[in-house]
Amino acid sequence: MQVKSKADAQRRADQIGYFQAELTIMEQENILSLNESQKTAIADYHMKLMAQLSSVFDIDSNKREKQLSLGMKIASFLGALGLAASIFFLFYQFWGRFSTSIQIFILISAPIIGLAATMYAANREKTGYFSKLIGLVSFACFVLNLSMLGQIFNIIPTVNAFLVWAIFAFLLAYASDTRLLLAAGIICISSFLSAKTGTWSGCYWIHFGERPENFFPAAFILFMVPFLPHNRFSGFAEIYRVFAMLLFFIPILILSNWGMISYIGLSKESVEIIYQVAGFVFSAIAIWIGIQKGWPEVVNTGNVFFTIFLYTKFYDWWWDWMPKYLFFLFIGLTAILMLIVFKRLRNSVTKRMQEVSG
Amino acid sequence: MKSPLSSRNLFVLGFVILMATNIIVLSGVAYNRSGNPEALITLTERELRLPYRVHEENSGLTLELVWRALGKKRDNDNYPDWRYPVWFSAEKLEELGFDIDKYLRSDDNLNFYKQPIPKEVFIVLENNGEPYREALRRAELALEKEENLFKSGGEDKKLRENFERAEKRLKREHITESRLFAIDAGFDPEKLKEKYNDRTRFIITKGLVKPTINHANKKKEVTGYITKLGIESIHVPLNQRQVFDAILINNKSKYNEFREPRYEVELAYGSRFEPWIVSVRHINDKTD
Repeated sequence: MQVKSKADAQRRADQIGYFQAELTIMEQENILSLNESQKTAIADYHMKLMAQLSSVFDIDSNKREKQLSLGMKIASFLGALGLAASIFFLFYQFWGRFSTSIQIFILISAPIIGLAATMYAANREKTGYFSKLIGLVSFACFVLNLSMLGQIFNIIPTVNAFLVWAIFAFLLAYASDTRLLLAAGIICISSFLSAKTGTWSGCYWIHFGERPENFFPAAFILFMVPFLPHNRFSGFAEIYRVFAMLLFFIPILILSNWGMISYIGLSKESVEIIYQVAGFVFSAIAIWIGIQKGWPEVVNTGNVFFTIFLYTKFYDWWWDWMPKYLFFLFIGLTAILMLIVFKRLRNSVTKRMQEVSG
Repeated sequence: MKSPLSSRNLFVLGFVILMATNIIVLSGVAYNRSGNPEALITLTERELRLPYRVHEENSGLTLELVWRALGKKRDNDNYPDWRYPVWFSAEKLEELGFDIDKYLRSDDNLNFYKQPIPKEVFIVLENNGEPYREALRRAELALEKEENLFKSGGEDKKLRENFERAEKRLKREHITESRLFAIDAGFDPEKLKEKYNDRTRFIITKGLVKPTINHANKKKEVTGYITKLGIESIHVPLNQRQVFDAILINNKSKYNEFREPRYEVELAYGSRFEPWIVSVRHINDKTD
């Protein structure tokens, strides 16, 4: 197994743990008995491998370490949010007392210092908690940098700000392997692409949210990005796919209920029908692709939206005229039906895998 | 060989992005302020107002640009629609690229929800010109009308209130209301500059407009609506704050509806139609 990212290393370490636990059970039940030299060879190999993985990727070698790591991740996230907010308020509190040149100096130097500190922390500390935290603060400083320059010089807002924020967030995310920065970059680039799509119809960019179809090109592009190799980065491909699906299915959900805000020049009812059908078809396709490709996040997101589309339709059709006990009975029965369908799907996948391995 | 997308290279690219973005932004500012300004206009507190509330956690100061537009003349003109200028007709909207027939054709239910999306155009503002004088005339006429009704109607409470309201309106028009009026809109700033060439009276700036559908006498009518100007808050730099700080410190009393303007501001608009404050003067001390 080629270990390229921290996620790969952690998977390998977990695999070693499961192997050791299974071996102990098999020995206890007298299914397998290794002699001392074999045991020593395996233990040595695993010890060296774990030491190597730990030295490069800072993995958690046991359950307790995993729990502590989760705590550290949460603390790092909260710390970054707190520091970013603090920088915003600190600047607002005192900026009126500085001359324009000092304001510019502070605004430009803050993200540069932040970036230098992120780079330094990334080189010094292999866990990456501090570099990720400082990276997020640096991104916040850059957002402050551009928005405040806009205020100081009375600059008319431009959509291009989202593009440069996105580029900066992506650079930091890929340099420090930070999913939160990747999410920030995705949000910025989606805003940019959707606003640009909106301007094709002649509207002013800030109003891009008023026509949900503006989000479709961004959704498509984001879904395609993980086809480029992302093995080195932990969970990046999954984040791209989930955001792409949210940007695709949320507008469909809105348009399937409020057809009047669509670009399509048909009647409100026709537009809603088109998007209701699209919602069912595409969420079903997403589930199918997810199963085929082994993308659990795609299956789950597809499931969630399929269920929402289904229940929204049930509500439209039956809520007013059906007694509530009957309505909820139908909801329960459809959930059971879906369970049966998924169980069958699961069995067929397992059977296929057995056939392949057989 | 080291990957071109190594962390180090990505960080270096990050520095490049930071520097390049700031250079582009500041070059834009320098370009806007270079050469002769597109407008150099003197406004008072009537057109550039201090914020109603000073936030303790924000030490910055911005002035709100207050502008109006002359709406259609109506019998009851006490509450004019300042954002629906009389000149902003269906023809003007078509000239700005809006498909008016589409709005007239579509059904009412759809129109209610499917609001047209604003477009960015250039808007011309005139300070202390004919539209302001017309607003004054309308206020005088309204007062005359209400006064006649009040005198002929005896001690009717409602008529008295209407009369007093019209009186206040005229007083406000004379003392506190903004004299800055939106008078035209277009796509081509050069044409607008040619037409409105007095740089001390006219401002050409960017703003958002959209059509709205009205129902007058059972007839559908499309008129233009100015959503907002591109820049309506103007930042006050530290070196221009003395006058405002003195006013804010001395004036912690209640809001005065009929207060004479206390300062005047020389405001410039540059080649990117973005404004900046050139100078500020206390209005009772013009010898400074």
